[in-house]
Amino acid sequence: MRGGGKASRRRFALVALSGVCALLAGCQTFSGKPARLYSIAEEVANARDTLPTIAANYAATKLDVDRIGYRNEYIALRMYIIDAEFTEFETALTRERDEFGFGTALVTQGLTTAGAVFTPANTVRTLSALAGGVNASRGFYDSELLIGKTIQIVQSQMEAKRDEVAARIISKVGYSSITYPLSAALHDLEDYYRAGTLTEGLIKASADAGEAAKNASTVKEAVMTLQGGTFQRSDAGMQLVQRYLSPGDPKVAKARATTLAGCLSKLGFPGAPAIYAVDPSSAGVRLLMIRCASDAKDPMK
Amino acid sequence: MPQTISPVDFTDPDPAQNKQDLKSQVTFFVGQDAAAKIEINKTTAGYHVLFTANDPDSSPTVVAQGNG
Repeated sequence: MRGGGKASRRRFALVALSGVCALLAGCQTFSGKPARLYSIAEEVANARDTLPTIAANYAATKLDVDRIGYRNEYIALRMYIIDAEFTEFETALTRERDEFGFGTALVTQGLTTAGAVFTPANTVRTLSALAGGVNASRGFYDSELLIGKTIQIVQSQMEAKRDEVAARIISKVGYSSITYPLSAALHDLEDYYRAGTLTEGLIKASADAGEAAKNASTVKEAVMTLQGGTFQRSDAGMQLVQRYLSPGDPKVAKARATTLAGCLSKLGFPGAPAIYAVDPSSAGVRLLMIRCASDAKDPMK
Repeated sequence: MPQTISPVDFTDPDPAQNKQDLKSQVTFFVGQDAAAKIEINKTTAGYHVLFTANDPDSSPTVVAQGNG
């Protein structure tokens, strides 16, 4: 009975150990992708064997409709090969990206979780010490995390660029073989391949960031804020200008606003007359508006 | 389109008069073609209002003129 109890404890210990192994060492429990009927190497080899036949048929036929068919088949097959190779490349890149940072995070989490579950004092001390050691080295790993994030951005840019080129190619499949021959298609296919490279991803990320910065700068420049202040009911100039700009007849109002805007613009005030009419700090501009109206033979009263 | 903002505080100690002042300015501004946005915030002293107007088109206007 005692012996059976010892064996069962040993079995439990083994199961527990394998569980801890899975938790701590990141033992592989799933591959992250479904199984394939053919491996990518097989798929690529099959496609590569078929391509010369399609190209020969394209060259041999005289009918445009057949040439279009062969050309499109050739394009589709080449795109498929590029896609299949890109899948492999992206998987490797993702693994590379996540391996270090994610693995370390998992170990840290596993150790601290196990520290809470196992009650014997020695185990807790050992596991906590290990966790402490792992946590202490996070500062070093964070730089890896930064690289991981950069790769993530570049990956998304590569995918975006690939979609862009794919859309361009697909939009041309209806073209005749005269306007879009196989050689032109090869040119587009090369673009499609290049879109899936790190260099292209980096170029697009950099260009997008530059464009975003430029747009932000344009928006920032496009808004001007006046000094403003507290509304003064007794401001006679403000009352005069506001009365002038709201005569009742919309056509007259529009004509006056246009005249004043043109006059103010020449004097270095690019805002609309309406904004200077309500702004407490623009008393001087309102005086100019009174003069502009007078010069336009439509004085303010 | 470029815009200009004017921040204006309405702080008359008489709440009714303050509201009347705010209403007069908002009514005027809303009637203007250039008006783009009005943001009204209630403050302890009254109201803080941001008037936003679209700047006039700075492109030159071609005016056709007759010769006689």
